[in-house]
Amino acid sequence: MQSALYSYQDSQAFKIIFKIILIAFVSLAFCDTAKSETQLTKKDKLKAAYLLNFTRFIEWPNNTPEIPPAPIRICVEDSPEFLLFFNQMSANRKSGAQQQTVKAYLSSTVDGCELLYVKESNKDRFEKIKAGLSENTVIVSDSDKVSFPGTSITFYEKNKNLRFEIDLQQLNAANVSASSELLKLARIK
Amino acid sequence: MKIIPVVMATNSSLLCFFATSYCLAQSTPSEFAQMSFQELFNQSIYDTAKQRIQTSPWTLNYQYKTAKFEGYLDGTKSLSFSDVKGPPSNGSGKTFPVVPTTITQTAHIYSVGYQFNEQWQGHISVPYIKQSTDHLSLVPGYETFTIDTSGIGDAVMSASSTLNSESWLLSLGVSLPTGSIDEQGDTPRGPGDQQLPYTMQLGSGTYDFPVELSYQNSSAPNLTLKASATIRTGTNDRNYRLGNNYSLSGRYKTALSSKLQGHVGLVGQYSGSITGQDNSLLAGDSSTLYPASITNPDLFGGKKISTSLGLLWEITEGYQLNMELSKPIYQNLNGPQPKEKWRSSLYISKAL
Repeated sequence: MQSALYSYQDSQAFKIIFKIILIAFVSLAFCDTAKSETQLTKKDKLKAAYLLNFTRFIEWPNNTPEIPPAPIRICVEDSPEFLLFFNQMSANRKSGAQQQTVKAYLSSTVDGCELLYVKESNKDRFEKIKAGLSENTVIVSDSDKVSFPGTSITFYEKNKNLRFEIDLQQLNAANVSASSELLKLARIK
Repeated sequence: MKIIPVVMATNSSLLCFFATSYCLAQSTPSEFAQMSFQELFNQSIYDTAKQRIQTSPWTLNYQYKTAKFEGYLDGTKSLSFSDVKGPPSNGSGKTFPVVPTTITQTAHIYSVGYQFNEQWQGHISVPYIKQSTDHLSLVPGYETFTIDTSGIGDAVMSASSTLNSESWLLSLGVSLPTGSIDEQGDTPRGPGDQQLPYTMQLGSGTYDFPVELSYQNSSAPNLTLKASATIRTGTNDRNYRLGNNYSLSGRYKTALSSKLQGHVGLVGQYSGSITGQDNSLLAGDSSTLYPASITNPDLFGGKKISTSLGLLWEITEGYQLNMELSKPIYQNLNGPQPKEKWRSSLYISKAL
């Protein structure tokens, strides 16, 4: 006679536990996704810091010399929290040889930008976004899980740390120059 | 078929996670703006990691594991209980007067981890084991009966280190014979309590050495490969040594959200049979007369391939939860031997 203490561990119990895990998968994923939409994660903050660092080691062609130099524009999509954080981070800081200021904008509110930061959620609108870019725009992809045409820099994760990959061909096509210090730290595609 | 208190596998991946971040925590936009590429490289992407590093190198872990065995296999051939139940078998015989029908094993494993530095971590774990076996038998008065055992199992001390690259992790440990091998219960062998079979004991009785080498892919896909073994030494006080275990496993993990990951895995295992024998388990005076398959040391071990499905949730405030279910898809056992139906585990980690 099977002990009552272990009666839950029959095949029915296995099915029930299996269903619980599946339900947990779905429900927790939804809960967590909803939460992440209203909260900037550390990973997002790190990506913002990387973007700011990129502007320090990439030089864009000076097509329209201005005094003082025009700001380096970072275009992002649909993320007011990210935009706010980036602009708080870059406030009163200068980048590159021309000591340019750096500012982030929503893509829809600015005509052209030096650097476009795209996420997986922008995939469907990417062609429309890209149509408004200049040939010198450096495209930075949020993740290696999705592929955007023309991407020069792609974030990826390695052992819980954030790394980036550079596509030299795309960087050259954008007619920008990246410092050797930047290339030394990147995984080259 | 004893539950081996090896928590190294899960702990290794957790500790690898702890080891990756050692910089001071940044939180304000200004602090992030001041970080160089090298400082960014050293930052863990997880919010909770900074709390762990800020507070203490200690972690507490709890794991609940359960496994169920039911039905019989001889090689890959399924046998019914009536195929196995029969007159006492001698030597290589395949029938036994006593037939375990369902074996349920659960373990509550408590462990403490300590991060020595960026490279080295240490762990001590102690399991509390409960086992229950239902039987059928030909012996009058014992047609059906259940035997339970419970108590402390073998404690494991282990150390893990990342190798040349962060992708490689090596773990070495020693399993101490703290679990009892003298568990007794009421069996049909005679009146009162007698020594119970190997499966019902709580420890191995020997000093064993768990070893593991793992590799985690540095970029997508998030794949972890592991080779592990438990090497047993000497002979215990009851003149036997459990078989060595070897396994190769692969696990694919995918992010479902920033704090939630799902994983699927495949593991191949090989276990050796028991060396030596506990003569108190024999029926009568013959050295080869086994009352049940689980008293024959040759009818242990075999090959097994299992699949697993799990969920890893990074809870806030240093908590992490891992749930996993696995089920064998192939078993080739030194039989007749009870076959594994499924096993599950629930793992909670708390950074102090």
